Amino acid sequence: MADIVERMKKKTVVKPIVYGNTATRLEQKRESDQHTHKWTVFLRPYMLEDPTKWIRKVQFKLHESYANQTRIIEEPPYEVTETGWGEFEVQIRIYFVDSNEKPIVAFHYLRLFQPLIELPSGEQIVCTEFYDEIIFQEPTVQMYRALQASEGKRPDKQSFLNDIEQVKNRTRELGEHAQKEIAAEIEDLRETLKDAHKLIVKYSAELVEQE
Amino acid sequence: MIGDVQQILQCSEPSTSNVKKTPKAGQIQKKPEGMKRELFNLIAGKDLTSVMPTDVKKTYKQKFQTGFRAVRKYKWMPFINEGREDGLQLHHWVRSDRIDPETPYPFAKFNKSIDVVTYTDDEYNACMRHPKWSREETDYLFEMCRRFDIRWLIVYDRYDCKKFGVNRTMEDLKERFYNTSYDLNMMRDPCSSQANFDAEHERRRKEQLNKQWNRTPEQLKEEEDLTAELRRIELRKKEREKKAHDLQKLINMTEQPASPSAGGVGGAATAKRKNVFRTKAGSISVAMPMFNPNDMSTTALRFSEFKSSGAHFRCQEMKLPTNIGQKKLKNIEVVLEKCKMEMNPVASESIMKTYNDFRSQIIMVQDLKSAMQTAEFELESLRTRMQEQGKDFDIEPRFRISQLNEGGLDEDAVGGPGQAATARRITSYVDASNKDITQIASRKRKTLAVTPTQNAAPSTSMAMGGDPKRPRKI
Repeated sequence: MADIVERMKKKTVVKPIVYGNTATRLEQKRESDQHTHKWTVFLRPYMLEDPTKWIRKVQFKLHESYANQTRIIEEPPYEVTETGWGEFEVQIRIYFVDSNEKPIVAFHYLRLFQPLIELPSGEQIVCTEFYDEIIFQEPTVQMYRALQASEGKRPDKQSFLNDIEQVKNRTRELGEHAQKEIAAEIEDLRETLKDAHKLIVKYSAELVEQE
Repeated sequence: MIGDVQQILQCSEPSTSNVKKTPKAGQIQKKPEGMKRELFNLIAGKDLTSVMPTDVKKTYKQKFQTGFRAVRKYKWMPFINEGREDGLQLHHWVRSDRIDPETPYPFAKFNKSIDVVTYTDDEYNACMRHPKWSREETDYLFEMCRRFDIRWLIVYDRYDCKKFGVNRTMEDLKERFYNTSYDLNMMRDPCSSQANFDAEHERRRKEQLNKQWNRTPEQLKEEEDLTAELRRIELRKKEREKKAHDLQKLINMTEQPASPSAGGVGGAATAKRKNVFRTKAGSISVAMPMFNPNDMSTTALRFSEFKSSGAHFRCQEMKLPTNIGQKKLKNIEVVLEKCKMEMNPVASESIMKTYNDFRSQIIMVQDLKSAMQTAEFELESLRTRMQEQGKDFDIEPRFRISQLNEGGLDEDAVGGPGQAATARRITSYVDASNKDITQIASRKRKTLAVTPTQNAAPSTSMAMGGDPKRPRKI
């Protein structure tokens, strides 16, 4: 690129997204290819917004045993539905509307057996939803405008089976709790260590005196 | 070249030129420039007609592609150079389609003339008097400058020193000229900005250049040798400074917190450092690794920071550094699992911060625990030696880090006098073991044996106390 891309200095834009997959068992194992599950891998904005404003396309790279291993989705919903018998890592590459902004890659390990979630209908389904945030550091001017154009205000609660806010809160609480515990232990160890040091100095001085 | 000349002279002698291009068999071939030796060895001495490059350099005739256009007409025209004052008429060739008597002679504009200041008698008397310059010589100098447009080389060349019987260097001339011009201009307009001439500087500069130019090859060689020597000396100096710095750091480390790099080896490294210190001081345990309570940063894990512009995922900010080592990684995994936390949690900003801090703290606990083990061991050996002298002291349970079982302390062992302030649950999951603890003990013995203040008895006691696994009653 010969021309210089102008970037928004000192600006950071954060776009929460969720990626994951759902999976259900086929009624019976297909004899032709031994497939046992039907699954859908997806990527969605976490907020209620129009992702086409800033996402140009999403590329899902499946296991090499699939025909057309690389699937490109240019319109929402960004998802791929397939059948299979095994878990593998899906590479999700997001391309942005401004091609000067380099695409980024997320890896999602496709789950077929765990964790199970019960739908309101009573049906059970395997579902993982991973919350993450895309951080645009000093985005290009064009990208910045695109990101501003679709600013989601509220979380999109309908699209996800998990209560992601709750997951976030629980994770944070666990972390903070553990932090408190460990901070206290560090303080304890430090104090003990200091006292031990004092004692060592004291006793060695006594010993030297004796001799 | 020869080909060009031949073509120009139109005396084509194909037979001779061909002979030149293809050397006779048996003649030694020279390797063409840029050809790999291996390739040349393959083809040397063989018939090369098939591998010879066919794209030969363009000859003189091809370069100047004449004969495309009809020859233009030129005319022999008289012209007057406006730059001259004598109106001399000369002739030159002009393309017939470009004859225009109105256009001035194109080179006339290069005849720049510079205004050299003039002065009156009054002005001369007011500010231009100089003990070494007569009025006549000054006039002569200014006249010369005017005549040659202050082209100093010419002025200097034409300046007739004999006329006034004083030898002047170019700098003398310049100095006189510029200083008087400066004074004159300042007198006329005190606000004018004038450049001054530093003759002394100019003289030095020329002298320096002369000297540099007149250096002999021996002097050049000597200079090169000297610069090389200087470089060597500086390198050695840097090395020495680095060593001194390292040593200083080592000494400081024994008094201050363990650094993250040393944390992995834990007790072994600290004990080593301690030994260095001890042999120097001649007494036991002068320094123990002390942890600065406010200093978290030294032990902290270094998570990748995303400073450059571009997009990235939040979860990338939580990636553990790849070089942290198996033991630390294992400790982090175990503690996270025991705290029911995930290795890769959902990645919001606050979660990222909490998790990253927490994992740094785990490493810190590992360092602290390892230091505690060393301290406990040290206390034990001191106690043994005290007992030999008929004295004794208690080691409080809170120092007994080696007796901490997985899962932490029971409630009744926490908070009391001499007891630990916390249950040390997380500490208990962290593995800070020192595989070479026996090695430390043996090293300790050696150090003691060579320390002159020690008598023979403690060394045997050290051997006994040197086994930390040996059960002992308080």
